[in-house]
Amino acid sequence: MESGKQNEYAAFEEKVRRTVYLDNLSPNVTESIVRTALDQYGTVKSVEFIPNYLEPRNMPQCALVEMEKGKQAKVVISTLSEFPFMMSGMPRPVRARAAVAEMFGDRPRKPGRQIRICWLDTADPDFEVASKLKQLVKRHATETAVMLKHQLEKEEKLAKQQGETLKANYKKYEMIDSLMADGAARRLARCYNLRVSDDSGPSTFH
Amino acid sequence: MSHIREKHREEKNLGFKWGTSIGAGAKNSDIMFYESFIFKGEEYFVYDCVYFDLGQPEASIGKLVKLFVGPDHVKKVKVVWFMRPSEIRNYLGDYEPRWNEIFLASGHGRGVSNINLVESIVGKCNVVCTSNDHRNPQAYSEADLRRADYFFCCHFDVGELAISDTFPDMVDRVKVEHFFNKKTEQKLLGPINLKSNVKRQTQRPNLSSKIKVVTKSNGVTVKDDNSGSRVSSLVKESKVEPVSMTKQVHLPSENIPVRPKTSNSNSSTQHSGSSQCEARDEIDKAEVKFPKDPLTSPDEVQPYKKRKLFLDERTNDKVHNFDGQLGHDRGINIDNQLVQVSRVPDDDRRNWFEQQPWEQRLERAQESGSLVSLENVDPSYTSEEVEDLVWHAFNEKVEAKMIEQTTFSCPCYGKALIIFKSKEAANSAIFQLMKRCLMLADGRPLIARRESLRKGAKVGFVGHLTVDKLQLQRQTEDMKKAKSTSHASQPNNIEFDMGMEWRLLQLQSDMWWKALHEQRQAKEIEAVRNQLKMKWQ
Repeated sequence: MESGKQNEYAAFEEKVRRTVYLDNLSPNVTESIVRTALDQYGTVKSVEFIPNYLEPRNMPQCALVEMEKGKQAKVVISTLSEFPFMMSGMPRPVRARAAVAEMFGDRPRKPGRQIRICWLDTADPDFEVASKLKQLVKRHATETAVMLKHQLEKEEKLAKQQGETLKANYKKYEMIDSLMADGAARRLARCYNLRVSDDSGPSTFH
Repeated sequence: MSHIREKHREEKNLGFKWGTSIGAGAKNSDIMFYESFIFKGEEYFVYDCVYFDLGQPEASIGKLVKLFVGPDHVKKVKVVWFMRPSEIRNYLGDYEPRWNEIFLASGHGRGVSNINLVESIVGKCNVVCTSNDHRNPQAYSEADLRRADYFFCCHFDVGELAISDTFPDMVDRVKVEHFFNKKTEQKLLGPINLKSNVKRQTQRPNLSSKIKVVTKSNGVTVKDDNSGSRVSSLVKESKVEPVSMTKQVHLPSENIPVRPKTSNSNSSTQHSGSSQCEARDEIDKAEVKFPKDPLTSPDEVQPYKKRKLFLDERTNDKVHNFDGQLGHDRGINIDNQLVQVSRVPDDDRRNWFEQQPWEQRLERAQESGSLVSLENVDPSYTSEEVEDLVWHAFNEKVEAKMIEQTTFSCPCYGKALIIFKSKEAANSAIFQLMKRCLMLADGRPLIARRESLRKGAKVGFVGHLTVDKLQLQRQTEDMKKAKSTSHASQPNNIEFDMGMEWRLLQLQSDMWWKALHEQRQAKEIEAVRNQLKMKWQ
């Protein structure tokens, strides 16, 4: 029944096609939130968060959402790329992309796969090259870590910037609001013989 | 989410049991020789190739030539060794061995063979002989060769300290035919190709045996043989359970007990084995004679059920043979599960016990110092493959989990978290990987590092803004809902603009990750890998 394994793997591949990989999720986002959010695009079959063991703690969450049909998954991805989609907070949008097999931690084996290993000793001709490769791997790892840090810094900067902008804008609105509310605007209008419509209310910015 | 199961199997000795005895020693009648024994759930036969753990970093490979127990009840085996290229590298001269080639030890002197305790056996090894010696049945296919753990075509004479590809008649007083390929393939997993199946079948008519078969789940074997291409190895069949089978000669397990009686015919059938036409007749006869009644036996149902449980279980024997065969040969699953049958009791327990959640196990491992991260793994490996890899390389049972690829992980690299059984095991593995290089078949050296999980409470998420609390009071119900429900922003408010700024940043970050991974890192890796001299894939 080798077909058993083949089938299992084929089913897994199919599942990968139907799955959307979300990231930039806030830590407050729960499975039910994701479900209700994406339900408008199709049926959500399962939601699985990817645990983060090794990366810095303030990385946003990631999740794998399995939709019922591949088409639905595509719709989700395209919509989320077109419009910024907010989940549990604003304005940082959630990012969606198509999932790949390596994103699944507990994937099944690919049938027909063979793994071979070989020990090299110092006397082997390739030992030097292998050591070089090892060093390269380490270097790349540090490069990645640095880049990640850089990315986080940039994100923080943007958030701060937006926070400032928001506050400034809000202050302006508040001021206008208060003016309308306490009648100062009306008084001034009478003074200048201008008409001020009375549709003031709390600002629609929340 | 725990998909890794503990393997207690190797810990507890599943019991040792001798097989059929072939008589007492000629010189010393206190010594009893045997054809086979069951150890830790595996059945080992004389002339099987096995791995030994003798304290060296790499397991030693040897062929069992005698299995016996002395009057002191100590179980011993006499082993003729295979040398690894690294062990005889000073004497190889110009010869360039392949990466999975070994050499049979021969000649007279130290190092050809010795006597070991049964307890140092760790598992079976699949060795194929590719020598063109006329006594060696060329009974293997390309697939076999690829599947084999090792192959040998030369022997190393310990007296002359040189390799040679012409084999002597005897190696340590054992006929050299026993070292060549046999009809009885030692592969645990994977069907033998038709040719060797043929050989086995030809043997049967020669054996005049009235032995009742004691085999587990025989029906499956039967089916395998019937299909021709799915013949399980000798070992597997002998482990198959009795299912009201009082079948005759044709069941392959007969071979073992009867072999000594017909040792002459053994060697002769090896020669005749190549003549397939006669063999064909035998097969037909043999196939006809296999009954289908096992299917109806109630015993069948049980093993099948258990096997289904572990459909996704690691199907290899822990020692070797990663799942390469799954793709090649049909019926492997059945075969594999056949092998597993003897381990089923443990596997069952493993399933039913509540496993500690993975996070807890990670933390405990970190506290005890046995958490290691294995880097530069092929990113397409699965966690199970990593566990097998570690078992093969270090003879350590571990739990592994591949770290999932994220938007910022390099597609060239994979990483896995490994939980070792003990701190010492972890230390030794790290040390070994540092000192020597463990290369994967595609030219990647593995790196291990002690790993520590990131601790600390989750820092606040960057990017979600809130306004002053006072305002919340003034918000209407709708507004509150709008904030808490997930929605796509429309371009009519500031939220949209800010959202777009974030999208911009996200796209930028995508681009710079791509630049780093694909353009720089991948190129650097290629450049160094091109310097590798040995043939890697």
